[in-house]
Amino acid sequence: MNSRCLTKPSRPVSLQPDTAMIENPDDLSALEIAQAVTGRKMSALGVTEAALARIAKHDSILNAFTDVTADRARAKARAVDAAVAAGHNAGPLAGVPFAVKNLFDVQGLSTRAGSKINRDRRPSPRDATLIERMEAAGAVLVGALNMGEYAYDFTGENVHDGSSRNPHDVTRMTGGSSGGSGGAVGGGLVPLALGSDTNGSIRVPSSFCGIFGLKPTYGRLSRARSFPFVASFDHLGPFARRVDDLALAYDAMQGPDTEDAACTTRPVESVTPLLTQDIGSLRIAVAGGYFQNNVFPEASEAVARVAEALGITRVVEIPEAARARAAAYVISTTEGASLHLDRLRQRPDDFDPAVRDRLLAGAMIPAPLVDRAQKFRRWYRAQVLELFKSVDVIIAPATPCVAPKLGQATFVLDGVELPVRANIGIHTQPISFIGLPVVAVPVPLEPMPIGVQIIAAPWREDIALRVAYALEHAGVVAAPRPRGF
Amino acid sequence: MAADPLDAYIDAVSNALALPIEEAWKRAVKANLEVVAEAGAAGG
Repeated sequence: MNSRCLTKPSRPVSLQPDTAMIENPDDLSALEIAQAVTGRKMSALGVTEAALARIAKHDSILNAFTDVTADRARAKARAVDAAVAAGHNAGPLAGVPFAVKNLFDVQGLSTRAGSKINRDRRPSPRDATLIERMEAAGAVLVGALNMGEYAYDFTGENVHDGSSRNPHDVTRMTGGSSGGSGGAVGGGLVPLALGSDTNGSIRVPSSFCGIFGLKPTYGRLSRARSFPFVASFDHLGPFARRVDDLALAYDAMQGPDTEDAACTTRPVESVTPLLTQDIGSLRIAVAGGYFQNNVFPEASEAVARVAEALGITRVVEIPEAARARAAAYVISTTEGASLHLDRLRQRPDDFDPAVRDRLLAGAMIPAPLVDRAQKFRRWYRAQVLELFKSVDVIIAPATPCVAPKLGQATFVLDGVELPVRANIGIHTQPISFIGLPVVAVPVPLEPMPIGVQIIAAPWREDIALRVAYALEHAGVVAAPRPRGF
Repeated sequence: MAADPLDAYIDAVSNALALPIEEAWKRAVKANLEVVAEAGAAGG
């Protein structure tokens, strides 16, 4: 059976046309909140207070937030309510609470980027571009989120702020580096969060926390006024518990920005209206070789479920993926070292020692190795683009395993004991290395969820999101709230 | 003076770049350097 027929009419996303006020927004999606606020069934202030109450109740366990911007959030919510009352368009995200990884500039806060050192920076005079765009669409910023130091992390552990904890099992990692983003959305504290992804930092927490994450094409979303890690493959993107919420946030944030030199001048290409389009004609394949090796059984099971639902019979080989991962490793550590060289000289004791020692090593790598890695990158990108002439979507694991225990140092993969920290991103690094758009979708295995990557050609976020939407509506992928949250 | 060539390399580069590397960190820095160099050899 070609279960591409799983593409069904969209679920009824409109609220029932009754006039009753909705009292409890805790289980509503971003889309449902925005419709309720603009329909005057719920106030933005009420939604905001509920989000602040959830944060107060659960964050002492999850440790997702490093800053809660309650006063600012209430002021913004009142402004949204006033706009609605005046009959103005309050935006597609009217009254939707969201939070951002603490490497985004938030006016009035020091952009700590998970570090101790950056706390000495002066408060940011202006929000990051993506926060401005989310708020222009009516969303309400409620705080900044925990992350791995300087985004050089796959675990969500942080020696300065404490580890973010996985809402499905608080003894386990959220994944990183956008660990607070994963925990906050996974635990239902907010319906939307923003994070960054250089080597997997959106897709890994999405996988471990059982939520959806979008790493757009390199250059699609502006990074202006965010703290970088590896500028040549840093991406920003959203997390959500539903695909339509992911698309709404993504659409709100698109558009050129002269303040990020890498940001595309392409016009906004809205994906929300396209989500329900049939996917039957798409050519979809599973990534073989490197992506089928180096996995625990649960990762194979997750990919198999998605492949079966989509009726995939084709396997494609992404050429030289292992070399791509190695080259990404070299460029990350050397570009990161270059960025932090002065801090390494002046304040080495204030780094997380594990991050510092990797960056120090990166500072010592001879230039010819970096040059070779960059040359390989160009070759590899050309090869993968050639592959996308014969396929529209490639399916691959997001992580080799479900969330490890906090503090777990090693795991045994294919009979080899490997360090957890360095190897969680083995399936994400070869993809972000060349800037491809990816939606990470959660397969709700028991007892822990795990993610699958839906990978498309550059600028085809719409295709990846359509496949994710079809899988969600077929019940194959989902992000249910964990027990207790 | 470092007996191991990689130890000598770390000493030389840290001096050249004015990177203050304490004795206690050298083992971890060396281990990381070996991993990155191996990746560099594989990824070129």
